[in-house]
Amino acid sequence: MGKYVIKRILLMFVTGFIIMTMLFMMIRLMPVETPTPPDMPVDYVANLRKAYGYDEPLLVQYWIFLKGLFTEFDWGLATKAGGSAYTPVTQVCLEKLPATMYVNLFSIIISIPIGLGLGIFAALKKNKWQDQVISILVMVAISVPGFVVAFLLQYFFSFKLGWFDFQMAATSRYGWFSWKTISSVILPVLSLSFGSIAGFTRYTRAELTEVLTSEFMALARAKGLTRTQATIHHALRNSMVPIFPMIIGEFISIMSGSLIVEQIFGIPGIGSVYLQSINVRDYNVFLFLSMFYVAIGLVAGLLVDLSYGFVDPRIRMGGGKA
Amino acid sequence: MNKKLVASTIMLCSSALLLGACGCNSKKDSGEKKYTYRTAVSGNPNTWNPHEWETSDDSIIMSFTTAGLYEFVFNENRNGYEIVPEMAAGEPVDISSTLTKAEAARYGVDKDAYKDGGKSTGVKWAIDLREDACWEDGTPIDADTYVYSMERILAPEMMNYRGNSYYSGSVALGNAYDYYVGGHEKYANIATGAKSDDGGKKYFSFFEPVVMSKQAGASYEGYSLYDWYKDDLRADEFQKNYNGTGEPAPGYLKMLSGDWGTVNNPQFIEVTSENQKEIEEYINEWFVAVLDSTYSKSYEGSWLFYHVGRNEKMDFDGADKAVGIVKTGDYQITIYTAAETTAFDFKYNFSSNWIVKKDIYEANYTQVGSLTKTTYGTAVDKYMSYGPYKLTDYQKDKIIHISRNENYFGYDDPDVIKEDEYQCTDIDIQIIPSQSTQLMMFLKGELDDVSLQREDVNTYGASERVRYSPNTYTSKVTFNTDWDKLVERQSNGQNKTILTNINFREAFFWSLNRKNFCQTLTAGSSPIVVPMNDLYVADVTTGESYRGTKQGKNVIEQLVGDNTNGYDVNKAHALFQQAYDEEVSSSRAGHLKASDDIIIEFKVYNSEDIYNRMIDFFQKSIDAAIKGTDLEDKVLIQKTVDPNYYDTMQAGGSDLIYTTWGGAQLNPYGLLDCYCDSSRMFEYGFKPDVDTLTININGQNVTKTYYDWSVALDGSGGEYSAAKADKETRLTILSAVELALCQQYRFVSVYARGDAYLLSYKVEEGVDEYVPVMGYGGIRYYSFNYSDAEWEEYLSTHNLDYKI
Repeated sequence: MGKYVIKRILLMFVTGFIIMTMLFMMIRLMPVETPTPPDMPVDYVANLRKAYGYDEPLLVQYWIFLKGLFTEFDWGLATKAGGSAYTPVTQVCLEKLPATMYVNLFSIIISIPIGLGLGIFAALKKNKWQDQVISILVMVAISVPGFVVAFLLQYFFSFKLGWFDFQMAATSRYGWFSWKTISSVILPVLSLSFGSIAGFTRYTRAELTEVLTSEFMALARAKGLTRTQATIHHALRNSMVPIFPMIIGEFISIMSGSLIVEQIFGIPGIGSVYLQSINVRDYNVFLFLSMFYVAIGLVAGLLVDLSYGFVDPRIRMGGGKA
Repeated sequence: MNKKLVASTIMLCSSALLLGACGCNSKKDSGEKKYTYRTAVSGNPNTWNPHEWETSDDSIIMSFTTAGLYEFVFNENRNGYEIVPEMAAGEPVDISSTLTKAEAARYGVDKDAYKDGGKSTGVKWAIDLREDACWEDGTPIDADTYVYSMERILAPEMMNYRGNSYYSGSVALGNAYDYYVGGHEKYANIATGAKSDDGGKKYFSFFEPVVMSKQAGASYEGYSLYDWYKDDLRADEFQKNYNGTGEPAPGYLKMLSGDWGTVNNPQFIEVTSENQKEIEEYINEWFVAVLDSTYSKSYEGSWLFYHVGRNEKMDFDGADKAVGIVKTGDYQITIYTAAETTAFDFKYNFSSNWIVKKDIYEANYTQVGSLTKTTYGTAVDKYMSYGPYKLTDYQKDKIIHISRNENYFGYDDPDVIKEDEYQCTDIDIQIIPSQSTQLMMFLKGELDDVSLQREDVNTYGASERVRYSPNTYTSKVTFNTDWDKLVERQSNGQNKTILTNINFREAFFWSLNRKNFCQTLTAGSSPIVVPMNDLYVADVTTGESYRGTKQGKNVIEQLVGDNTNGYDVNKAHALFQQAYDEEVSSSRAGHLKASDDIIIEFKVYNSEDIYNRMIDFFQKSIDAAIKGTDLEDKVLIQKTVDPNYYDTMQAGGSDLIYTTWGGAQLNPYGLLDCYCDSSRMFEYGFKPDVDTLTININGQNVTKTYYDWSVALDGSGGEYSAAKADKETRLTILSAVELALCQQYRFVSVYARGDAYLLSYKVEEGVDEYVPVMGYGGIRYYSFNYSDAEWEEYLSTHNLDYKI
């Protein structure tokens, strides 16, 4: 197991490095619009790009970048994206991450219990009207895009009814944990949660339904366990094997921003910075955020794989000799 | 009861203490009402460092928290403007008569501008500064602040974006440019139409690194052509299969020949009239091979730079050579301009300010490559206000809060701020990208203004709270009129060369019902037949509109008479038929044949529906006018999306595009540059540096190229600049060029852009009618119908209705 984990971690770094190299080359091949004032001197752009190091061949640029990264963990400075000219990209991005995590964390906190609860309930009431209603709601929640939900929630609950703020409250003014701030994120949290709740519900229902019809469940009942005891101790535990990794993945995804929802509800999160970095060709911000998400994906993949062994001890990793 | 009394007494005492702590200039007490103006913007400022800001989003904080040496304000009747001292203690004093020859040489005053015997004018200006001006923390602002900040904005090691405000233009400081570029690499360019800065000589080398750039931004650089031919990603293409021909690139073969040096013996070849075309072809083949072939078309005419050395470094305040700004008293600076300038231009240029707070500026230095940059102006604690308001809260992508700066001198000086000005105590700016969210918040009373889109105008256009704000931009349809290029672009049975027929283009002009266009497709725009609308000011001292002068009126009279909508379908009908007859009977290769269809490609920026609707409008307009002519059912406009459509058109890669130009309201003369400079204009086929125009000036016919006419009017030393020619002469030239351009119909003006917005019941603007330059007056003149508390109370008992 230990060897397997080490091997996976090493492979993770190799994969990350390859992806980083590809991203660096691809983004730098896209021509950047160097900010050019009117009446520029003829060599303004040339000198500016020279100063930025853009005049060097790509491999030289990459070498300079790697040197800074591995010796000082220097990802460079933001130039245009992120609302902070010449600020280290790490600082720019880390400043934006809390708002994204804040909203996503709330979303997960409500999505998991509601999704699991609805899924279990639907499985237990399989093919009854309760199951049908839940299935229809799940289909609607999955089918309607998140931004449509966001617009509708904002229109009805903020504009028509006036129950909630249109925009997330400014944390510089109200702090993170004031009622003003918490209440202002209810709508974006709901917008983000619909899809997750639907996903958990559908998955849990499917898994639990399958387990409930297994032979060992009949055996458990035959041994004298009540339906509730058999469901909780045997069915639920077995059905969690594929669901648990999904929860881990969801937790890790709290750091990924939802551009549309963030824009609609004025959440100063990471989503808009990423898009902006591509639009304005802010090489450093783009690369940092891309690698940030790549790292999340790689770590999530590793944790999910490892989690199987913890959830179900019968699953073993590493492919060692029998 | 006693407890309440004690508590009240404590609170009163506390309030008094707090007030006392607010500073000596505080005029407001805690009982005073708050008047907050709440607005929204869609973009976040990236920096509000006065040396580095770029966009209008960047400038929003500075617009409230800084003050110029001079300021535009309403005149007494609020129907015009005047420019008054703000950070300056008085008018600038022209002391050019004291300018000595040695001084002129040291401070970079142009030889033409210096006159012996104390006869120089408009080049040496003394400015007295207000002694009570200070930063928001009370630190005084004196002459040292101005000189230090000017040195920083021009510092060569910083290469600040806004350095150009002081090294170029009509009020450029002497030697400012030399200081700015001092020590930097020096390049020359060698593309057609571009002028070398190397004594007029141009050179080319296969082996020296080059920098390829468009005027609007660099695209590719760092390699010599040799690098690409031999060692880089496209070497195979250059060596074996150039542009899919199966042959090596001609430039590659030329390089191999060794005629122009070798890699071990590189040579610079002087570009002459004999070899220029050949060299340009080599450069273009580089574009074709290195960039995507479609994309590269738009790079024709780009500039190719090569390194020719380094600019000489100079000291900011050297004994022999210095930048034209000098501290001449604790609160006085003297400015030397490179060229002669008028007092108005001088004040206008210094209506924005460049000062920065030294300690904060330097504490936030950071190294970017070989440049020193600063993060000044990226956070509340990295910035210092000194204008009527100060920045008090900023959260990226969220809010900007600005409050009254009690240390601003103007609040204590009735000569600066009158009784009814600056009622607004706070400005709350939210960053909200979605216009629909902004509109909902406005309708709920949470914002005090909101811009309207076309669809919103249908709902709120009749509201008493709607305001229309024109701007200087004119949107036009621009034609490709180059016969050869159109022949190249057309195919069998599909003609394009009819676009070169002036009657066809004029017919298009008359076929457009511009009023209808504006009403159905725009919000707040108005029909226009010429490139400049009423906002452009011809006489800066009186505020007289260019369109209101006899010359300005004459252009419209000559062009359309009293049909200011420019719509006459019968005239268009006749002209279309005439164009058809002329083209069909032409003998020129590629001319229209009777069986041909006319396919006009209209390139647009993106696939937004508005472009479909606009093009549909043009198609229907043409269809209506050609009905019954031989062109009926033969003309088709085809939309193509091209994000680089401006560049594409500059290379002749489209038949029609939308173009929009606008300029400084106070300088209509400068706008000619956009139509007469081949590197900027979009009317492919027009040769402004070759085609001439004769204008009768004071009884004498003067002939120049269009380009030379625009240069002659230019503020920085042109033959007919404001400092050298009278107003009537300048107007005569401006109107003659404008009319001549319009009568060529290479572009067809459609609408003058404008914005429509709703203003909340909480606030009133300074004037009801839009005033050129001043607009509605801005925050200075806002008056409030409700304080913040009153507005909250009003909202709790009333439903807002902005449809009435």
